[in-house]
Amino acid sequence: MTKQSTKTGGFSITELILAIAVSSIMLLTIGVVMLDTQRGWLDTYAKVHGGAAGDAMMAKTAFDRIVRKASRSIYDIDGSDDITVYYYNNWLTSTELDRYARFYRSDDKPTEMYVQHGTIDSSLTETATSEVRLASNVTNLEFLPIDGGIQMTLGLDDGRETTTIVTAAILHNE
Amino acid sequence: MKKKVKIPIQQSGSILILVLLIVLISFIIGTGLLALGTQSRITSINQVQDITARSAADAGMERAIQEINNAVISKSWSGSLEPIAAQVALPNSEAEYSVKTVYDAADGYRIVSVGTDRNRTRTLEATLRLRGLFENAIQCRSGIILKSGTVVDTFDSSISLDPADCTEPAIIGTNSIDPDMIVLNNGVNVNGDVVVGVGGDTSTVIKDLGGTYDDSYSLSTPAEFPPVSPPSLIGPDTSIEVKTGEITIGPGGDYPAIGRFSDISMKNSTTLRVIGDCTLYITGDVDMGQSSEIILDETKGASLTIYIDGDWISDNNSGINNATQAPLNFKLYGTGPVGQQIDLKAKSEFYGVIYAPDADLTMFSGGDIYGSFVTNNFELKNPASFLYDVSLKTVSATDEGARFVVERWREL
Repeated sequence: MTKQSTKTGGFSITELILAIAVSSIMLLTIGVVMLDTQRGWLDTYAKVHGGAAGDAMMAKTAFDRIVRKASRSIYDIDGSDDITVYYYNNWLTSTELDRYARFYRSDDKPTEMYVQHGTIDSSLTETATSEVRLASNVTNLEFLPIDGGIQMTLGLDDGRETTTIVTAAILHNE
Repeated sequence: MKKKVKIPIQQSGSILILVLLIVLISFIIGTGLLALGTQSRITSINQVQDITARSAADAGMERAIQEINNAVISKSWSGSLEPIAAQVALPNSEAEYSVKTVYDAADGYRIVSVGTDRNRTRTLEATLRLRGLFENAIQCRSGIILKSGTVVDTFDSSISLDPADCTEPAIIGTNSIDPDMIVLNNGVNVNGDVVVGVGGDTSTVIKDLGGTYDDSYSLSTPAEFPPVSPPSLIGPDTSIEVKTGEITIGPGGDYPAIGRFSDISMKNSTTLRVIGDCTLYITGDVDMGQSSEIILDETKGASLTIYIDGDWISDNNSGINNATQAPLNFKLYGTGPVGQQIDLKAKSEFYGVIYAPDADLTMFSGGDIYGSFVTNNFELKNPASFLYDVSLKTVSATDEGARFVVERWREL
């Protein structure tokens, strides 16, 4: 004869509380790790593709490209965050410096850096032809004459990422 | 017999799904991070390769220019010198450069330099021109003091001595950024620009006591002062003495046209007449007594080049009289140590060029000054017109201190 067990399956309240506690800790840990990973991912993404990084890259590239071909004979620094360099439209056939590029922070929007291109005549009268915003979220912009060239310090802060780049370019043309 | 029957507990297998889910999420996040990391690395690598490729191109360009200038300095340069290099490794990198140079008598040098770092390439092109020692009217390492009423202007000796025939601006400048290094007294008029050292503040470096000028700015590159060495002349190592009356120097004269002398000593009211082309290396001083005069005789095609290690002393009413009226016919090179003193005078107009970047020069002339001065310090003692000869910018590779510099440059 078989005796039917009267004991019913299930967990005691202690087991349940323990299981819930352990599960909570595990879920919390996994949540924190995932959150941290997500934050890291976003930070990394911002470093590579974010506004500050992109702006820094764009400003540096423009500064290098233009200043390297500018004239070492003359440039004009107006304050520490406004510089005008002069260059030849055609490196061989232009008889005089006939173009200028002005890097500056906007007076109206001091957090924005621009480069303005234009033409100059023989009396160095400037006529603007185009203007491009190189960077937003600018916290610091400084130009410093160095031996044979110009150094630029650019600080950016887009709320997520803070970047400061220091770059220098040698003036090559007469 | 009692038989215990174990009833198996039914399990749903949810933990497996949970684990798989976590693995999947981790895989997605990990893949994303890896992709980002890879992209970041690729971006960085490209940037670094760009920089090294550009550095390699710059190095190739500098190498070609240096090679040319080494030949100029050693006086072995000729137009057939066209530096060329192929796939030269840039030290401590994987970059390399190749350079090609072409020289044409009419257009001068044209250099193409290509820098490569793996798959990144930068190409530079440049043309060169010759630069001499006298690019500006007055160029000093340190101070310039101009007397009240001085006018600084330009003329072109290949056209006339009249400044009205020349439209180029005159430039005076210092490499210094210290306060009050250029003193423009009341009435000084510079028909051109006043320049100060790199990063200098023109408002403090220039002490403007009522002078006028077109513009003032700081240099982007310090003015260069290439070293000048005396020629290798042998003897006679004696003194050139003028005790009374007049003696001559030059072909067929009392003293040879070329030689190394210990000093020049002229007593009061004596004359040293230069006939023909003369080059003297004076290892000591030049002492011009009162009312003495060195005359460059225009009827004898005179020119005088002096290298001087010592000081130049000029008593009252003495002077240089370059009767040829050509500044390049009187060239004075100060080859002495820092602190060398050169005190020059002219009874009337002075025509000449002075290159003494370590010397302190004072000048007093009875008339206008035509030429160019390059010194450590310069003081003009009388109000005169200082007229820079723009034809001094036209130089040849055999001229003293000449070297090739980049005139036009571009990056492709």
